[in-house]
Amino acid sequence: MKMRRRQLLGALAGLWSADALAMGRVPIGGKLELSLPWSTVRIDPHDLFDPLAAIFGTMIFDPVYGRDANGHVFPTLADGMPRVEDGQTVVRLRAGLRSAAGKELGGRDLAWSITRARHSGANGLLATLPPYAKSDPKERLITRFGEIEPGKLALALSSPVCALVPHGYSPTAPDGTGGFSAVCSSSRLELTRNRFAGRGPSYLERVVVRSISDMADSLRAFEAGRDDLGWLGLGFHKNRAGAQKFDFGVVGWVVIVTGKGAGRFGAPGAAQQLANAVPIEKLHLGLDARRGLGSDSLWLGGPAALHYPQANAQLRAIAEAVAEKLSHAGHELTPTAVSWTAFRQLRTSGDFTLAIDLVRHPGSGPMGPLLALATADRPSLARDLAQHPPRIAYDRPAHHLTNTLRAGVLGGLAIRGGVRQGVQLAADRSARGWDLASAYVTG
Amino acid sequence: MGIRFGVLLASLTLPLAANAQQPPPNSPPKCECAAPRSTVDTLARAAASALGRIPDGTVIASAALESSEPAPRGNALTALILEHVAGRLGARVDPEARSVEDARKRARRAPGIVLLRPRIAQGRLHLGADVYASRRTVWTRARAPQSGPVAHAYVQAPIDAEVRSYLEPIAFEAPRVSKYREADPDIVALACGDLDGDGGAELLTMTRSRVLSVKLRDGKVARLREARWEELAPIAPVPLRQPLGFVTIVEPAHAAQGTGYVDASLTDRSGSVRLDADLKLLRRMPFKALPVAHATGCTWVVDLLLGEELLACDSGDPPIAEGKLRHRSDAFASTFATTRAGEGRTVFAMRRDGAVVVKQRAEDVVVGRAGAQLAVADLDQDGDVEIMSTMDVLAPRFDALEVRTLLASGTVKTRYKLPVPTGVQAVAACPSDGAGPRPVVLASQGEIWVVR
Repeated sequence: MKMRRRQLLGALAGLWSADALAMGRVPIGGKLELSLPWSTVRIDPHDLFDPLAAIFGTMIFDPVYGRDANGHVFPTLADGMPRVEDGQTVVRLRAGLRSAAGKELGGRDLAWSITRARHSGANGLLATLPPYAKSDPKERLITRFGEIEPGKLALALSSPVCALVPHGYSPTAPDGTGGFSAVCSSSRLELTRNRFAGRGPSYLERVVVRSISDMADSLRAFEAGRDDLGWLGLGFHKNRAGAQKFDFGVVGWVVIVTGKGAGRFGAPGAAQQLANAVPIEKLHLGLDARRGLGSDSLWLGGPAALHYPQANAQLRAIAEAVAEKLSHAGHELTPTAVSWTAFRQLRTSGDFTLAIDLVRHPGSGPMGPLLALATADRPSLARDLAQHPPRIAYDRPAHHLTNTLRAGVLGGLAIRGGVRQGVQLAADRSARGWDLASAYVTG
Repeated sequence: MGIRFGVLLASLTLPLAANAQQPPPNSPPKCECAAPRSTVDTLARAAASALGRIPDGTVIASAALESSEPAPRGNALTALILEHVAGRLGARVDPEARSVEDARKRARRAPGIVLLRPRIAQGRLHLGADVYASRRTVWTRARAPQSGPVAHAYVQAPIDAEVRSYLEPIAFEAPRVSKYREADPDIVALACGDLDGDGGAELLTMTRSRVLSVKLRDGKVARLREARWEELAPIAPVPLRQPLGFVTIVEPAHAAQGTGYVDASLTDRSGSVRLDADLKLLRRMPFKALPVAHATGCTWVVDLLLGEELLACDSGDPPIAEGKLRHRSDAFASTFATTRAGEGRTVFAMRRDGAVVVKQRAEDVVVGRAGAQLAVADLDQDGDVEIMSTMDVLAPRFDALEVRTLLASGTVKTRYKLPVPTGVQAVAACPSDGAGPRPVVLASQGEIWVVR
């Protein structure tokens, strides 16, 4: 099947996300530094709960399809739209693709990536796909997906949660096709121009993201001129001279989840009532404002721990604020940090009372937000919803999608803050949030 | 020694069996084309080649120069052409004769007469050459008193600085702009040249989705032929976010097989493609084809910039003289220019760190800051090249077409700056089409501007 004109144009638009046209070219090179109140230990594009993937994922990884501003799906790493061959829907990758580490990418990698995503964050998103993705031993670039309508497959694969990674990917040694290559450590995330980038290397040579343990540290560093970007503001004491605000919208949601120990608060919709009782918009925690909140409720389940994954300062600040607002005599909530591994086990087992978590916006069509939030409740529920979509308006705010879930939305995680003079940031045109690979420095 | 009968044309035809679905095998014939030369030398070689061997002792003469523009030294130009063609043919020059009859009267025993007919028209030097058979005996004169030529050649090439030195000089005046609507809105490269060898210029526009052959008429851009990138080349493994694109017309006189072709390269797509005059795919080439003198050379894109070395794009292409550029660049242009004495040189213009560096005769001259759209040509045919560039700005409203001359002394003189508030997306120089400087074409948001 030939690529349609609109798809081709979409693909090219996806390649080209800089604002500048012709005349002088976008300046190449330069380095940006910022501090972030999130853990930089690992990044996993297939993990629906990975904050680093929510904020930087689209600069390091690419799904094989993308969606433009009008919702049209276009091939990014795929060589055209999926097509049906011998009763199977087939995706062919572009020839010559390599990961940032130089690994050649083919159908085997895509099949492995999709299988991995299906067993992780894309559990609900891919529930309606046939249960396998197979490479073709005769044709290196092909992946077979069983019998499925090509447009539906392309839409599902357009989610950043279904990004292409090399076979055997490790979240602590990230390797993708995005504009940057990445090196993770407990103290920083280093992004360096990826010379194999499947959609174009970044203009910037390097971005250094320091992990900080205090939300205010980023604003202090920005105000003092040590950082080029300030997370969530223009300065701590006062605004940095010449700095500009930026806001690239919501890339995920911070949610409160009820577990097996929540008693009557474990009922569907109760978590959202708890979330509604927290005036998160007034607490300056970097969450997007919610409007039209429904009924609320304080915590009445006795003393309990409020778990959250450690080394995420913003999540800790949110957990502390939530605990303070929901607690009252005899029903104290205690913010409790647990390791990433332990938190993942809590998620799987449900053996907790309350937890604060982050859920990425998965893109992938109008049902994406509902399926992502449902996955935060139970993956099996997300699969059920995908297979039997409820007849609701999917374009409603996220906190109105949780009436039947055991996860309540506290607010959207927004890419927001201040940037110094001479730095031009760019929005991600085929996903959400920003695209530092298309950012550049003019001064 | 027999003279071949019939009409011989300077242009040969290349069998073109290519189509987009089945590209022809990538095995072109070995190039036997000459290095770039002056117009007079080029025409002399082409005419001599087209006429083939002539008998020893043949006399060559030339009709007076016909010119559509003032030619104060027309006779001297005629003599120059005559000497060059005579030298190529090995013929004896009769500088006085102006017709076949004249020549015959003055050289009755010559085995043949070659008569040249030089003409200046539409910015080109046209040269017709006719071979007349011997009429040494009374019987041959009685049998065919008015016999016609036994061989004919016709060649033409754009006027260069050497030819211009025999004509009225061209002066730069305030630019006049003609605008043509309905061009593609996102043009990344333009090319202008005589692709089919008919003496008129063809205009090509290139976007990220297609190459178009267009005609400018009635204030509009009419589309003639189209080649879509999706049918020409696969997407590059590592495209650039902001593309670099080049499209080059190689005129028949400078093509290996005497048939004009187009080389197009775009960083969105793998390698480059060579297209015929109908924009059908002739072959794919592994690297990025850039304009070099009258033809193309190939380089690589590394770390978002063009490479610092040029190689022949194809095994059939001539080797690139002076292919060591010494600079990596994000904009590139080249031309072949001659001095008024007819000495040729290849000129390269490269944009490095926002400044244009011009390389010619192994020397580098920094011309000044410029935007990413670049062209170089000797617009007024005085031997000094003009550098046409945009402004180094990112907002279209501040953009302009700036034309500067790099004088032989190494100094730079600004000719004019034409504001283009919608931004210049691509710029190219066209061959001369008559009196006045060569036209410059630029693309700007769905419009083609012709600047004279």
